[in-house]
Amino acid sequence: MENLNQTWYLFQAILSRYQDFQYVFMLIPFVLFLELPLYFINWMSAFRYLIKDAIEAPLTLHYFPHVTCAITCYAEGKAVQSTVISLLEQIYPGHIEIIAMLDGVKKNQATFHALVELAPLVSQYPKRSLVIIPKFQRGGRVSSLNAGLSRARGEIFLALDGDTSFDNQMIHYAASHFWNPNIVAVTGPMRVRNARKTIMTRLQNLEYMLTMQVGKLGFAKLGVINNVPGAFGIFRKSFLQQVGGWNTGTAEDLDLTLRIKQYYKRYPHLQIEFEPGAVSHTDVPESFKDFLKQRLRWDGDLWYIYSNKHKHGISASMMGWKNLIFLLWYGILFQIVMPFSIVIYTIYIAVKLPLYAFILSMTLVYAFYFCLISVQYILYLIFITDRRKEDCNAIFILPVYPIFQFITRVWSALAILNQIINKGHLDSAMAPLWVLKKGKQ
Amino acid sequence: MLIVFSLEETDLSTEYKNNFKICHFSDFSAWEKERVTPSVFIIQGKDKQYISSVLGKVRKDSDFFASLCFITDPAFPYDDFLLDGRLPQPANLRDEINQFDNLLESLKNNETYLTHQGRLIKYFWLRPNFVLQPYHDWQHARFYRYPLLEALSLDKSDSFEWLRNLANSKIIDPIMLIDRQRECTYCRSSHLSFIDVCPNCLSIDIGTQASLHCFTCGCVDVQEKFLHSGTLICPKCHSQLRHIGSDYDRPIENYRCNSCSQSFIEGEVQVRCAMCEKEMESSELIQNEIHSRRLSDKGRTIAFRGEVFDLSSGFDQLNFISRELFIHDLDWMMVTSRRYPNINFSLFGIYFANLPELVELFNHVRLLQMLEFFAQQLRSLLRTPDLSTRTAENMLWLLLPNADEQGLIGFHKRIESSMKSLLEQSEHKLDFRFISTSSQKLPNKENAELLLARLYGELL
Repeated sequence: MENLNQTWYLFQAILSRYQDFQYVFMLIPFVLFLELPLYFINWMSAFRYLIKDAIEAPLTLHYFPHVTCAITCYAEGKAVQSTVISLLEQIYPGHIEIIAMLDGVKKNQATFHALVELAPLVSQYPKRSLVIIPKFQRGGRVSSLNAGLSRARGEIFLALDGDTSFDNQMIHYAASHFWNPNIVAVTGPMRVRNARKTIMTRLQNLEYMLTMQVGKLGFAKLGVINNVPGAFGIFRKSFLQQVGGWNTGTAEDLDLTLRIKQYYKRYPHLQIEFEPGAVSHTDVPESFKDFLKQRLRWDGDLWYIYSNKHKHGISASMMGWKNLIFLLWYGILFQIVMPFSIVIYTIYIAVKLPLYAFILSMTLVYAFYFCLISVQYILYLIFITDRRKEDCNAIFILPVYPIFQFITRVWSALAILNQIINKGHLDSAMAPLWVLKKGKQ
Repeated sequence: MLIVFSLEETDLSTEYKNNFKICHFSDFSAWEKERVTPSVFIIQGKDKQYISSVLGKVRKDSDFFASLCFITDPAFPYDDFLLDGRLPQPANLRDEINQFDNLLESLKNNETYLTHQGRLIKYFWLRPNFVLQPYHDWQHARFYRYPLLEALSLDKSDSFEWLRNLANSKIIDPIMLIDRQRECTYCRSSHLSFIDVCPNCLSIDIGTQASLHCFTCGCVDVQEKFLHSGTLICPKCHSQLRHIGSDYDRPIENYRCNSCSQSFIEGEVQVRCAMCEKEMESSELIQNEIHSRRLSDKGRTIAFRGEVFDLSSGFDQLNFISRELFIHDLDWMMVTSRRYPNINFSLFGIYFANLPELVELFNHVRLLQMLEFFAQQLRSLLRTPDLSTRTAENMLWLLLPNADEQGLIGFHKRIESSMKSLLEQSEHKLDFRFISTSSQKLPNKENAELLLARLYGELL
């Protein structure tokens, strides 16, 4: 209680004598140089797109190429049916070929039967076909995707997850971009399907809104999209074949995105597009433990990709200055350096400052992020969302979100450390160890 | 004697010549002139048509229809059902002829074999492991034919009808169910066409239609009404339907009649017979089971006795009443004697344990005579109000009114003495057992049915 009182007096003191509290300024570099400009640029880009979109007359093309949807299936069981059905239900006049690659079919009989059950349903839909590729030897996601690619007959190749489903206009919106020969890949917003399940999923739901829907939109329109997610990537097949498909190892999606970017200097006209209308819905981890496990892999993989696989690819001569700067800023500084600086900073003030000052400082940090998120959330609700009513529910989770963000950052630092020390990329559920070992270490 | 039918001059190998007498004929009519008694018929040559025509005539012959018949070259699949296969090696042929002759000897030879049922039994009898197989023929009205029945039948009547009679009279037993098919109610043809029609107006002009069900307002309508420039929008509540399962789904009603606009889940199935062109409901169709069959025990009995051996005929003069009536009367007697203790009765059962074995020992005529003699004596023992019935072929029941314990003992003695002569006649092989009870010994809660069952149980 005494501490809280002291904090309160201190807070009053700050309001009157700001410059006396030097440590407050320790926060400023992070916010000022790393986060705020990034958000600002992102939102400006998003607004530019929104204005352009509102002014420009919609262009309807009679371009309906043959599309291949490759679904990587593993232990989804019955859930895979909703993925396939959401693809059958697409309002798209062209042919949609659905290829379901089932990895380790012996172990995943339930998924296999769920797929086979769908066969009679498929025949009821005109211009839709389903191919099941049962892979007896488990080879991981990459081998599944490459198997699908070799079998695909469509011009457009969609790499999809077995636990992701789609709005019925997804293919219509996504495929129309490929009319432009410069577009090599398209991605769209990913929404959380199981948002109402637990607090964890609600938090991730808000995170997906702000990073997947706003973040990706802004970055894509600047031409610097950070990643085409593995669960929802749409590619021009010929280009995909040219880059050689997916490469062994974890984070194959980020790897592929970086490899595409490395064509940018030589072929400056190439683009990765973001289509707000191509909406996908995916399941996120429901428990805190599963969430941490997922992030341990994701964030660890970042280090693996940047420091190992693409050590030499990250250069202006390969991807051009714009993408290099963005990558250094967002990929390296924001995603890798910042988690560590946050941890060090927090430990530093916790040790250096008296408890009341520490609490005050953390409260300020909280207040700052709360405001930042709230503003973004409101802007999102006003300008971006396509399901306003549904997304309004997330308002209740806003006060908790900064804490969630803080924990995520700290965990990210641990994940990267784990990767550096333990070679965590070899401990992935995405592929068996013997496959992962074949990749670049 | 091997009767060889052959168009060509080719000859059987010397092995056969050394072992058998062989007679050659160019066709069946040539043989008919001489009617040389055959051991087997052999149809030689590659001409399937020729095999078929000779074989048909052999199986229609009044005396030798059941003879063994072999071929040297393949025949039509249909004819395989009437043949005994390829000509075996001389040693095997000899065995087959011997077995055939033995069976022929044991066959009770009488007029029975003039009827087509008798012919069939004879054919079966002479081939102990013969199985009557159906032949699948898509051109036939019923899809299946029994070539043997068609060949042995003296008229052109439906072989299925005959088969049903044979099965009903238990002369043949089914072995394996081969097919179960639906047949036209009117002409029993299996050539049926099934067509689904509108359940409302019975029009055949129906088609699938894609319908949607909006979750927001519950509106169900044709998909076209929802589609507006590539977007699904509910025509009623104007909400945009984006994701199947969360915004909308497909209702089960999937068909639509183009004549009356009715939507329905499943059409009604109408059946049309391709032969008689009548229409019917699928529930009206007759179900026909196609079995492979063999000669039953009863059929075999007929074969070596000349007729069905019916034990009951031995007791004909006993004037049995029906089992139901007997039980009814027994019940009445039991109720009466419980109510009025001065009224009593006795129940007497006679059980012949080994009649079927005795049939093997004596010929059936003698056994019948013995039983008739016993029945005569039994009849002289019975008084006018005594009732008798039979619950099985070898189980007789006598209801003796106004016979108390003493009377029952007297009756028992008398019937035993009359059995003595019967025993002597049967060389003491006849195994008969008596059971009896009188009204005083009956438990209170028993009824006639239970009483008979209990006593029968004690006998076994």
